[in-house]
Amino acid sequence: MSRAIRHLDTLVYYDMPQIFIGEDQIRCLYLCYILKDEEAGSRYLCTPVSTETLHNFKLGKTSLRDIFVNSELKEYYECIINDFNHQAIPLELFKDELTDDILPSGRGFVLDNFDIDTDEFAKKINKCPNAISKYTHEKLRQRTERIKIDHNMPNMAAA
Amino acid sequence: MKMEYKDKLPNNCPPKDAQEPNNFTIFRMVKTIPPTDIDFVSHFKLFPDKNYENMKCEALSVSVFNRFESCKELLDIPNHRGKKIVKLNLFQDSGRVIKSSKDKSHYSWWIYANFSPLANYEEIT
Repeated sequence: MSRAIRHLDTLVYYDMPQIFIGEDQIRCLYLCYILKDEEAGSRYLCTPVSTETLHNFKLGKTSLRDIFVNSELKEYYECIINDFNHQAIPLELFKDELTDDILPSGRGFVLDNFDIDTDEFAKKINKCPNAISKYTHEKLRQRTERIKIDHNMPNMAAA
Repeated sequence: MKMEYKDKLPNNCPPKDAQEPNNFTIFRMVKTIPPTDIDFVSHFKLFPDKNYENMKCEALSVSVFNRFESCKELLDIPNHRGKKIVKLNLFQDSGRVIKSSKDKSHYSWWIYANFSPLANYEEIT
């Protein structure tokens, strides 16, 4: 089955959605931003994101550029949208390098005026089973480190 | 007197709570300085073949910000790179505006037919 998303929520609007959240068939979330707007459709670049990353973006704690450069799964897709009501917008794997000409420049686009208080989506959001949150990742790393230490302790004592 | 808009709008568009501004400063990106008519054309008019179903009224407006920084931030996105920003002061004869979107400074502006943005802009960048 090919990967497809539906538009869930627009984070930045300017004449049309500029940055939006999409959701795929298994409810994984994607952050997408516009690359080019043409008659044939608007071309977006997307990457899977965790709810935590989305939240930090909304709070202005991380830039759009950082989210893509440090993408949690290092997966990138592009899609062309003519109809935001379409429930299955096909995603194509983006195989090119993430070069500066397609990445946000300057500060990398930081949301510093987002109305988080009225963000209904944040309340309803479902956790993505595929995207590993940085928090979970860090907890797993710490646990692994502890196990390593515990495992090494007897040997160290014996030594 | 009922004012005409630049575009033919559907029923209930703009929304009832859209206001005629009174010396309201806004910022908009334009492709060139001086700007041209196309810089103030709605997305619907620019790309009429797209499906706007639930977004038609909004697509018939043009986006503006009442905060320069919000407009400037968008220049960092590849689709807007190289664009310029102009400032306008909107009055009752300019059209109707409503706060929209999740950026607190974003407004949708439905321009009256008799108003010329090109005769009223000020260059910022």
